Amino acid sequence: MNTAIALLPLPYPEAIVAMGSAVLGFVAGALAPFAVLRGRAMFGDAMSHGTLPGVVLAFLVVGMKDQGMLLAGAALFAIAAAALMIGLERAGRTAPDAAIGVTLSATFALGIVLLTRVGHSGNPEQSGLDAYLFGQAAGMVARDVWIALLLGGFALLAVVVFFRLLRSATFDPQFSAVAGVPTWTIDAASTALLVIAVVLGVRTVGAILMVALLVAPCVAARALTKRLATLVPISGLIGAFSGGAGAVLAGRAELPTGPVVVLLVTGLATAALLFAPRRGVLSRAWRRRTARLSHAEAWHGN
Amino acid sequence: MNIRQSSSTFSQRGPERTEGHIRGVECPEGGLHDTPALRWDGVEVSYGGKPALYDVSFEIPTGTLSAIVGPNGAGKSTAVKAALGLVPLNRGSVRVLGGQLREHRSRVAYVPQQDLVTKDFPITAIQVVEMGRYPHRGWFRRLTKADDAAVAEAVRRTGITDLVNEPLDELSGGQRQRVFLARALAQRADLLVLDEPFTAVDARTEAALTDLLAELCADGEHTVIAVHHDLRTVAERFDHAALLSGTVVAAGPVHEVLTAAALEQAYGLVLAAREKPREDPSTREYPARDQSERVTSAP
Amino acid sequence: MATDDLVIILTAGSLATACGLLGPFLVLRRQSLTSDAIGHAVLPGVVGMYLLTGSRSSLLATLGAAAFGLICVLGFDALRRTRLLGTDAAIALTFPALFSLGVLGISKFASGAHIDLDSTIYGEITFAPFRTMAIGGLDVPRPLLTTVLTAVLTLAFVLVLWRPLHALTFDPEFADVTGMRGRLVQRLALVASALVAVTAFDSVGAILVVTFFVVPAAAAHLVSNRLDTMLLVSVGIGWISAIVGQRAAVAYDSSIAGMIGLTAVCCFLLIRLFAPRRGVAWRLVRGRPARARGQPKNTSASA
Repeated sequence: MNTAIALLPLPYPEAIVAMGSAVLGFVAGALAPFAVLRGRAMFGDAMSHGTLPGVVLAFLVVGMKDQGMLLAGAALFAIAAAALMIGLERAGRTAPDAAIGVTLSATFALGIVLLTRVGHSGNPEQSGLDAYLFGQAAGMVARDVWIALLLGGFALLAVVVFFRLLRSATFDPQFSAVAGVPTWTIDAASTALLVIAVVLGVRTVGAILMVALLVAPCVAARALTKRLATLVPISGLIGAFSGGAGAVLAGRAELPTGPVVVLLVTGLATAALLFAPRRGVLSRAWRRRTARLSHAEAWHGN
Repeated sequence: MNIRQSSSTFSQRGPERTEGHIRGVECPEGGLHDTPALRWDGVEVSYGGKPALYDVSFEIPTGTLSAIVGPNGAGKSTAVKAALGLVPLNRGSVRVLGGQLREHRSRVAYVPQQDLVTKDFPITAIQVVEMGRYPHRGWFRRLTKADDAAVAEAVRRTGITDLVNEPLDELSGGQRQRVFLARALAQRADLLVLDEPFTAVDARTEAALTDLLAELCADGEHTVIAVHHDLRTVAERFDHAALLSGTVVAAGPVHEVLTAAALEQAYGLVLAAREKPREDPSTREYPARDQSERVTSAP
Repeated sequence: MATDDLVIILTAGSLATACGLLGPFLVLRRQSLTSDAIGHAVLPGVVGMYLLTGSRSSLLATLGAAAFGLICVLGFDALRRTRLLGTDAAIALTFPALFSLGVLGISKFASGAHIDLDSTIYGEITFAPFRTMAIGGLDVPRPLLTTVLTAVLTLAFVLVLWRPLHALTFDPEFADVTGMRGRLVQRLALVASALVAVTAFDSVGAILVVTFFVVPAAAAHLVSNRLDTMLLVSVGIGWISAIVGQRAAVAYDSSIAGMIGLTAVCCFLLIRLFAPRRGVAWRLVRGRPARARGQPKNTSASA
């Protein structure tokens, strides 16, 4: 890692930030497709909002900003949020979107209440805790990057090993149920991947905007390729680029990291949707134009 | 169920249905009902650039119990949706009751596929039936005694008197379908269009509801069109049929449509592939709604 | 209870009324998260108008916010139509970007006395009693006036469009065939939701907008067998949350918006557990109802 940092044409702290955010972006971008392609994009939104009370509680318990503890708290609450959503869906009469809305409300309201509590506690360490809402790449040190590499690498390894299973589960849940793999294990696996993506990515982008780092790289990659085996690395690279470049830009302009990264990655996704060679909006519009009359003309013409 | 067998069961049809059928055949033009209830002219529909129906031209005579049949993905539902303005036409035109749909909206009753109705909607059976009077009363006017009478009659004819105050989502598939049919009856429409009305319905209810539909058409004024997947029921009970497979394979009196040759053309390889599973009762109900017909489908 | 507390409760209650009347339609049409998206997306409108006019609580700010709410709705509708991504992915792609624009605007240009990041998260309901305007010699809190007006207009909207809303939420194809102008009414309902979301954003912040729309409606859904009941219960839960939440926030010296949200969620969970027939506890004792529908389904896969 040190050689990689030395290679970047940046001062050491900035190089660490760029490196760290790129790693986090890659992990989020590469793990998210297994959830996003199953229609679970907003599921990730509720989970990332759900990390807020976890982080604040961890801080209240430990009394200082210990990165490991905050990560553990975030992960615990992301899992709790996922469990609540799945539980509400299964209990009946609550559709997935309403379950997401309720979970998001529950966790975020709790997070706000806890955050104001910390705000009144007068603990000097608490300043900067609400930067957690919008990302705080700037303070990253080498140890954070190592944690990200370790956790992310572990998750990516799991993806490589179980790739075929994850692929069939992502595109055809019925099939894998028939093939003898219980659906709940697939649910659990894709949720676990999402937890890792969320918990790591929240550091750069913040709890509120995390969903963009999950969805936008995947959408961009989806416009470029149909094959999951190429989609996953492309999505990871787009996430890595947005994370790294965005964090450095935000640091130089003294802006919160999250919004800069989000605008960058959404811009990339929009560009991919518009200009992708085969599946892009423009190339399809061109083909359709040459092929047939527009719907509207024919409908009003009769 | 076997297709060849079903086309031969044609002769078992009851006398009263034969009457209806004869009327449909003997005076297809001229007489009171020279305007067809529904008429497609060169209709083409596509979803997301892919054609779902092309060059569709046929008509459903007034006063018939008619079925639209065909294999999965044949565009059966698309054809009726195109007729009712629910999907845009690329080409062609549709005439409803001899005119434009917007001139006759209150005369057309529609029972959509069950999975397009909002699940878990908090509504009681009687409220669904009363909805059938909305087209006559507009947005504001209160329901009158005449509306109440129409609702009561529809409830009685469909046999749901005991269910009127039950929440809809606690009814069985058959009971639900009765409620939706009651809504269509309460509308007192001249043309009833049903999209896959019998998918989640037990055989007994299906027979009872088909009786009711046949009874409705018997006066020669009402027309019923059902998108249907069960060829045997169609052969036994319906007057008129259109066999679709991307376009019209055959249309006309049911015994002229459900011939071995036409069915082979429409079902093609589908039949051969399905020969064995067909015996399995669990596949008796076709998974009829194919992806390309769903509005929510994604490529 | 001081007058200030009463003003806050009435403001939150009126807001809960407006959201409670529209929320059920969103929940039943599986569009709950639209309210979340709009709640976030209005921020650049508010910030932009502040930068242009230098004032926050003007009519212009509301217009700017509403414009961006509309941009958001139209944006994800256009994305969805490309068929390259599902509805939820389209929503998830649109609103974070718009919210980001707003946050950047605040942190670069507008951080000052009138608008800051805190108010986008916590809302400004705490200050509602102090933002007054003179009407006929009386000092009336402006947020209270706005929310009451919003609630009244929303009620009128729902009453006038009751039949088409009822039919189209239940059975959209039936509504279209019978000429209820389904698509038009659906758009109007979305616009109304966007306008109410703007008001809500001002009071409770971007993130808890979804709480006001969805949580009471989802709770009401569990106990209602008729749409009108569902709306009434939903509004009722909103008022309970407003009252209990405000009292709890005062007692524990905490965020009012957060406490109201937590109360609403507690109401939901209590109903989820103990509701007659559909509650989890009830089912454990009496068995499941005749046809409980609860099989979780994958929503339409994106892409």
